[in-house]
Amino acid sequence: MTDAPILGGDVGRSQIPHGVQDRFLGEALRRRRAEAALRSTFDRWGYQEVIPPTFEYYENLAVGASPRLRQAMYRFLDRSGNTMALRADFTPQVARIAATKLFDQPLPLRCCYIGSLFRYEEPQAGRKREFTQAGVELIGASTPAADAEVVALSIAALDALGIEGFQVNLGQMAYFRALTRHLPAEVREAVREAIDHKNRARLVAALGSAGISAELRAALLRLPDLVGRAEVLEEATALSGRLGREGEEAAAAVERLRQVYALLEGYGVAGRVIVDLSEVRGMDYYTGITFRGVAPRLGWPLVSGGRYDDLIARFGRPLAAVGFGLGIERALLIQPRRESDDVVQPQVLVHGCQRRACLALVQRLRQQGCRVELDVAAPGGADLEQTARRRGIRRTLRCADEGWLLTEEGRSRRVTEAELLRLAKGWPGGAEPLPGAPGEGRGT
Amino acid sequence: MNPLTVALPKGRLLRPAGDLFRRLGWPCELGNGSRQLLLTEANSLDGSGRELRFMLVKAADVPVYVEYGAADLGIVGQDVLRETGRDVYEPLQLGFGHCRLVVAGVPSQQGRNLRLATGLRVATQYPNQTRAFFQRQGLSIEVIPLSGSVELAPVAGLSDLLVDLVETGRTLRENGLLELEEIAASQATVIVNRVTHRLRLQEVRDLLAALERVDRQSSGERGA
Repeated sequence: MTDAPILGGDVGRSQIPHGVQDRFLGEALRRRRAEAALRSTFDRWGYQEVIPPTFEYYENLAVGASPRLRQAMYRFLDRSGNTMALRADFTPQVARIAATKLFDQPLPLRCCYIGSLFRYEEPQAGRKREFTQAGVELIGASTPAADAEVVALSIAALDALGIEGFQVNLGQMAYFRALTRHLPAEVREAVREAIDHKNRARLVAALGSAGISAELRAALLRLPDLVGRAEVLEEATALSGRLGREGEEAAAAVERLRQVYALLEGYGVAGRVIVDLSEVRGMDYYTGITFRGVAPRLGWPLVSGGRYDDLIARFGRPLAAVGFGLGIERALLIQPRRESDDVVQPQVLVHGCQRRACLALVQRLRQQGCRVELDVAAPGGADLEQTARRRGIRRTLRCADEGWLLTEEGRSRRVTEAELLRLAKGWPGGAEPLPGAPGEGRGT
Repeated sequence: MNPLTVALPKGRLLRPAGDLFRRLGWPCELGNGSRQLLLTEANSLDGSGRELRFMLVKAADVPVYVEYGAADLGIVGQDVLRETGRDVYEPLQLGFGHCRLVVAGVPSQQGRNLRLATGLRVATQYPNQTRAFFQRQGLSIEVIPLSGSVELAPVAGLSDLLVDLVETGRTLRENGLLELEEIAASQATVIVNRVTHRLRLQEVRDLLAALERVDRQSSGERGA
């Protein structure tokens, strides 16, 4: 045992439930900075924030959700006996808002969101039972340009977070759907499951009794390996060309992917993109392109998105849409740490004599962007320097007979109020001045 | 770039799994009396100097290491993989480690109509697959999780049935037990982390191709 215990000891009844987390000090700062970086990125791409409620009627939140996600939803009854749920996915909420509230806005809509999701699952790789997701939905545009914009924006978002070495795997659900259109549902699911795990033996077994042509079998058996750069698209086109009616649909799906890939070259981000037709997982609502962002040192994807052209219709208006979600806690796990992630300390500690003139000066300093802490705990100000040292504050200020006594690095000097306000502007680590602060061009 | 990390399972699959890597040129000196659990080795055959990092973990932990990406790939039996339910790629089945997960019991259970039985107790080291199997059969059973010597449970009257892995069935016979139903067949499988497979596609593909090649050769020799 060392002198400084690494744990705080038994907290008794003051525990928090499994799967939730307190965040404070530098961690809270890092979280909010990441959110701000994402908001600013979404803003620059023309996306406007929507803030849906945290809980809603279960039946609306469950639209398009896989059985597994439904299972993971926190459900409860309200006093009228309605089944409610905490949000487990933003997309159905944004779909509902688009279909019921924003339908007469000029299309396409560009929506973004940041907030908590709740899933009753074992916590994994930074994702607790309450976790934060940021994302966008581009609604009312079914073009390859819309697909490419959203993929490129996901890359910009990962860049904005400073994630290193990431890659986006770009798939096409429509290709898989075309190839399996004529298979019975349970065979299709077995085939999807086998491809999703790259399990060749299970794929062969699943296709065993499907009664399909040799060409279609060949195309499906090849699917787990259709991963790479643009050459994959050529191979998929060739495979489709040997098929019958489902071949045309499959070829069209590949052509769509080729167009999106070409646009991503235009954005200058194709180097980040791997074409991956084996990507057949995802929310059950995906109908077109799908994509996942992955990065070193994290066993799970950071970003997951795709096109879902049928979902919004289930809320009453048929609107094509494409979007993605990004797991903020997962991103923070692998975001390189910077020194500036430490908590920002105030620039000056002011003794708490509470005289009018002192309080007025503190207010003026704060207005011009100075971070000021008032020593409210010890109004006498006897241990002002010691308090400042303990709190990591580099300057102290107390009122003197004429003017102010400023102490920096152990040296004290007398300054007038005007001098002080001027000096304070040069202190590193300040905040933004408030509008209308003196000397900030009021009235111009 | 870091060498790919391979998780190898302690137990019956260790020797054949290690043999595959030895034949490919990695000495793979884990286990075999050594206490070392982690080691990086350069390829001694192809002159490339390609390194792999090996770690030795309990079989049931191989899928955990791989799912989290602490190991990039691993070798494990499908029985163990199914039991843990971990989400990994399973791109290559290997030609060894064949066994079956079966339901067994004392001979008097044979011919008993289990559909009509109530309060059936089943002892096993594989509670998840056991529960899922009987649920699929429409039966509600009591699972008794044990950590070994499961054959004893029905004989001692702890349970009506057991679910366990059999290779030849000899242990069951020696304890006077009968195999009643097969739940699933199993063999050794190479599993790969879902992110590693995407980020290091070519390296993973090359290694899988090499493993498949030597595994076919070994299977051929075993068959001969």
